[in-house]
Amino acid sequence: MISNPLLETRNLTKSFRGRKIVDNLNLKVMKGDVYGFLGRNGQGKTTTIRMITGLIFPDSGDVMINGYNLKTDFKRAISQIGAIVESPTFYDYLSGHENLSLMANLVPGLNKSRIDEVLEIVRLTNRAKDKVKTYSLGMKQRLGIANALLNNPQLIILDEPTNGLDPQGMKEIKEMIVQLSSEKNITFFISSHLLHEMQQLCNRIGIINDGKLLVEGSIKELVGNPTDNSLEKLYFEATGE
Amino acid sequence: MLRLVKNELYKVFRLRKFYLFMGAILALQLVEIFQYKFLPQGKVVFPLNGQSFPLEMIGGNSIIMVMFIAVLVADMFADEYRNGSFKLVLLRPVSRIQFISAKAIALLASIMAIVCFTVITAYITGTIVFTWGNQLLFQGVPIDGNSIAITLKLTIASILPSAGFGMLVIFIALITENIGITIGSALALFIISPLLERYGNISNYSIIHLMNTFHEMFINNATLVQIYAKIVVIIAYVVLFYISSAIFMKRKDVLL
Repeated sequence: MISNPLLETRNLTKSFRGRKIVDNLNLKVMKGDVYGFLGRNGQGKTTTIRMITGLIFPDSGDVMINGYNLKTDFKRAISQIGAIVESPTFYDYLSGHENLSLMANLVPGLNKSRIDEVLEIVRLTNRAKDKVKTYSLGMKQRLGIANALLNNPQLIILDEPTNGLDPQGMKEIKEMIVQLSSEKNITFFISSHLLHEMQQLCNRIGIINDGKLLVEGSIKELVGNPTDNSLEKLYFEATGE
Repeated sequence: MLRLVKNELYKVFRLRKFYLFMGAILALQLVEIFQYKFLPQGKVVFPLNGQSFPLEMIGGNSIIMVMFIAVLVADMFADEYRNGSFKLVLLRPVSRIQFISAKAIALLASIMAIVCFTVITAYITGTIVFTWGNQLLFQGVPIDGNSIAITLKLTIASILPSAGFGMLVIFIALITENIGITIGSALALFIISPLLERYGNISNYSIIHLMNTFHEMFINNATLVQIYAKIVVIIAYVVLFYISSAIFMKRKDVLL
């Protein structure tokens, strides 16, 4: 039986100052996927994520989240996801707990105990009362994931989640994604230009170049028996670089 | 919506700047008191007492109100947009109209809190230094009636033009996305306002002029028609810039 995609973009297009940044993009993320959205910097990954999360408006096309159209049913569509777009930003004069508490206020019917639960998941309980301005980038990233988890989303969208992190921070984030995907059955949509890392983490990928989706499918189908650099090979073949 | 307003208020009251402005208001009151107490008798413009000091301060702290509104709006809109924390709320099931309305309501509540703080502290400092006095005086002229009720009426009247100014600054902050330009524009409006008085009626439509003078109309024997005319101008500011901000926000691509 073929299930409906959890996230789907239909002919998504966006231009800035006459330049097409995203061009007729059609992608599908299925329930349970860890989907790697791959492309060099400046190819339209973040613009796509901003359209998927409603931060910017497409010139044309639609975003469907769990069957809800983001344009016409924004509140229900956005309730299905948690996201970190670009870097994780918070009110840095407030503590991690206070930040989550403010965000929890905006999720209808959420029990306040959920804040402690998500802090526990991202292993930030012992620093929860400290102001965010004292956090390292890795801790802010983990707090961002805690914030994304607050509303028990089906889908978490992460934009370059390991950017700027040290090797230990990268390892922690990757472990967290694997754990949440396998234990909580959360679907991930992760943008990155780090091919080797995505090959380890994802079961499906999409490659974007110049705003166009060149390739989409499961890693197994696309590269057969994955070796260390098979995704890299596929990427360069697809983009012609 | 109520939770969104609560969030915005929580953030405002956690800002150190909010308390710095309270300190500035107290400092201004002490300067006023110092001038009255220590100036030679002949140089004192008009007499003061404790029950009149709040009125004196409402009229005298418009520069602080302008700065307060400009800094707060710059923080709530331009700074949050620049540092990316705008996204925190927009990624939740909140409409952009609710978002802008909650911020505007929080700004209005903050203005009310600062004005109330001004009046209460002026009652305290004024009464300690000058004693309560026999009658309410406005610029030295005795005013008949219950002094507290009159002060309350003028306090409420002083908030209305501040709300109009706040909505104008919100619009500036949204279109410029820049802290410096937001605060600079508000200060420029404050500086330009006295110059407009040279051109007769134009100043009647200046929101800064209204911040300085609107509340005085209630004790200056202004007619109801004159008061209503000013109220229409103030409401026009509130409505025009609220609608403009809402339309702008509804179409805005959040790129940071």
